[in-house]
Amino acid sequence: MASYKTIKGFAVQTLPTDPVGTGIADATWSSGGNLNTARERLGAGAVGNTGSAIAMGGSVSPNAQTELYNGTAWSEVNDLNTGRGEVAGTGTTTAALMIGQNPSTALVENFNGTSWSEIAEFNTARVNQFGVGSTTAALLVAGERPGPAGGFQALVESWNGSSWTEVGDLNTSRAKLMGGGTLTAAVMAGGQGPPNSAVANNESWNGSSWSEVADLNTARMEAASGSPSYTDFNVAGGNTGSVTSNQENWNGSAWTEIANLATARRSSSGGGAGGTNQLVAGGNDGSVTAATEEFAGAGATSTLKNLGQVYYNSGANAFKVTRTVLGTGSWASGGNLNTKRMGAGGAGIQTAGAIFGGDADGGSPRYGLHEQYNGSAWSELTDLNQGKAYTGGAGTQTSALNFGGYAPQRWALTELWNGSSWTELNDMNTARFGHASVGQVSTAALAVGGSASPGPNAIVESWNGTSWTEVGDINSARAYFGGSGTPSAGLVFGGPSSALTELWNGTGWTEVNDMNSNARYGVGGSRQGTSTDALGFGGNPGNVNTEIWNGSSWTELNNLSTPRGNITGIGTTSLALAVGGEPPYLTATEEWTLPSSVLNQTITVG
Amino acid sequence: MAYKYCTATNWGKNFFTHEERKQFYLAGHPGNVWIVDDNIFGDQWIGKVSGLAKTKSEAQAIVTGEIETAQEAFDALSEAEQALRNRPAVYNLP
Repeated sequence: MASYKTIKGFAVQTLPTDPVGTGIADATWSSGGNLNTARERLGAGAVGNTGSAIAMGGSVSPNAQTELYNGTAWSEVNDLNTGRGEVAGTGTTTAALMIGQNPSTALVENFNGTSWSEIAEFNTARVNQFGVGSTTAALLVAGERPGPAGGFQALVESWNGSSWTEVGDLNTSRAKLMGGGTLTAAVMAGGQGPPNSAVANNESWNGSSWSEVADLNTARMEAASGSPSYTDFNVAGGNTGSVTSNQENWNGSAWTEIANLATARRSSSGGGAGGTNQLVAGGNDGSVTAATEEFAGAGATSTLKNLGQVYYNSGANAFKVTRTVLGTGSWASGGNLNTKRMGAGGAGIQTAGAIFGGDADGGSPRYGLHEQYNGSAWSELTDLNQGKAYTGGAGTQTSALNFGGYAPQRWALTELWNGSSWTELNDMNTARFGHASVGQVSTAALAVGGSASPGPNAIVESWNGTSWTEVGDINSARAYFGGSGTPSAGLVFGGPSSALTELWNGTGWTEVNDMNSNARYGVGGSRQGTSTDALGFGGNPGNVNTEIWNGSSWTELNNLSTPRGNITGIGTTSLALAVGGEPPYLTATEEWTLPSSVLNQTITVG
Repeated sequence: MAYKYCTATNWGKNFFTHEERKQFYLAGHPGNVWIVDDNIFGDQWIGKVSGLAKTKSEAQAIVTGEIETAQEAFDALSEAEQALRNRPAVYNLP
């Protein structure tokens, strides 16, 4: 039998398992060594990570068991002097604290790697607190006390290695919370609050006071957490009203849901060293468990994903390919323009976009208005020197190029935005408007076709940062169409009653497969896309269709919410903006998001 | 497919979200007319944006009126200006 290499002329790598990604989205849970003693409600806090951790106390008599994890297995060491659970713990396998005993005593024990000894008590006895830090610099946060005068606490105490001091209270009283950080910088999330339910509150500690930051996506308590980092840690599992396997990562500003635990559980021992290193040991998954799970990204010996690679997975007995798989894209409303308009030039990306010029409602006067988008709102900046509509745009929000347009004559003007003002540069050779713009940067762009005297033309000019030079004409003269790519690899598409698509390779234009819809007068395009990855959307009359170009054909995706043409398109195929347009003249912005992930997929022969 | 019709002013960010676009049909039309699926998701969205319920014929009348106004504006333009764009056309709502 002929080998694959003989047939195809190259070898296919054989791998025992699928290659993995390096990001948190690719990190996965795997089983770790079981605790020797199944238990829940262990010392809660930053107690290590997937390579080294300590499990202390808990729910099983004598409630004093201490075990150390070496990345593979747990081993028993000397017990606590006083058995207990439902209290805070923090530290490492060689230096740890177990803080509290029950609501009436404030017992603290110190572990030196071998044995436990009692040290100074903290100020206010309580349970179900959370601890971060070390045996010489720790933070003890919140908790609860019994009785009418007790309840959920906002108290916070600091430890300096010899004594405890009360410091600034949390804003929200609670117990059974989670967090990460150190004595001087920490974040505390979720927990149980009045009347006795899970909360999503999240607060940040700067060493002297707490401020509220973005809430958890899912309110929960009794989750596994604990990391030296206050800008990158996870909360895994817990109790949301029921036991959950859900896990969220805090990146310093927002929570993102990441891979779930294999087994839902609460009241575990947790520890971590950042978002891609999370340990969960013991807990209660319906019954008390000894199981450990480790959340980790790619390791030093891992084979990393290589986009486009074909390989043979000998474990699964399957040929596979690593490829980008698109999710479901959709348009959502974005911030409205300050001035409704159509036919404006554009530049930038979804979270840092710019539009300039455009035709205001009624057609006169022309506008030179320039607005910039920050991902949620538009603000006005310095106008173009010459306001014009159906104008070209390329580049970024801070370095944008504007070329050609109509006001109320054809213009060949070129203007450059340097972040603070517009400067006129060398004109195009042919005055025009309604041309397609190709260009990701302000120093390299194409002006393609458009309306020049006496009408739609096929002339293409290339900008090198200084001057315009005529290059090869497009095959079909037209105006009011879209563009994507660069002067060495560009794409133009659409136009009035046109679905035509042409591909530029740096020397000539080639007609390729048409768009699916031909109602594309003033179609919007992903200006920062490429010649093999572009988005086209809208167009008159009344088109809401969104299509994606993959280098060989167009595929329809989810529609715009509002039909419109003469849209200004900004961004990429994964993150784009549809801005303004008509009829009637619009201020509306829609934001396109197309999630994608790099997956290992089995190759099937159909 | 059954739809509900309402008017609501697009305030911008989060007027409709990606999640909502994936849950139910939503389409905007001239005159702040919005059409959504006649289901719980559509109802929830109308509630969120304080939409004013319209019958289909009422919604159609608003859209037609807006387009006729745009047509009048188009017709008032010079021939050169008209050559730059399409004359807005009245259409029927789904």
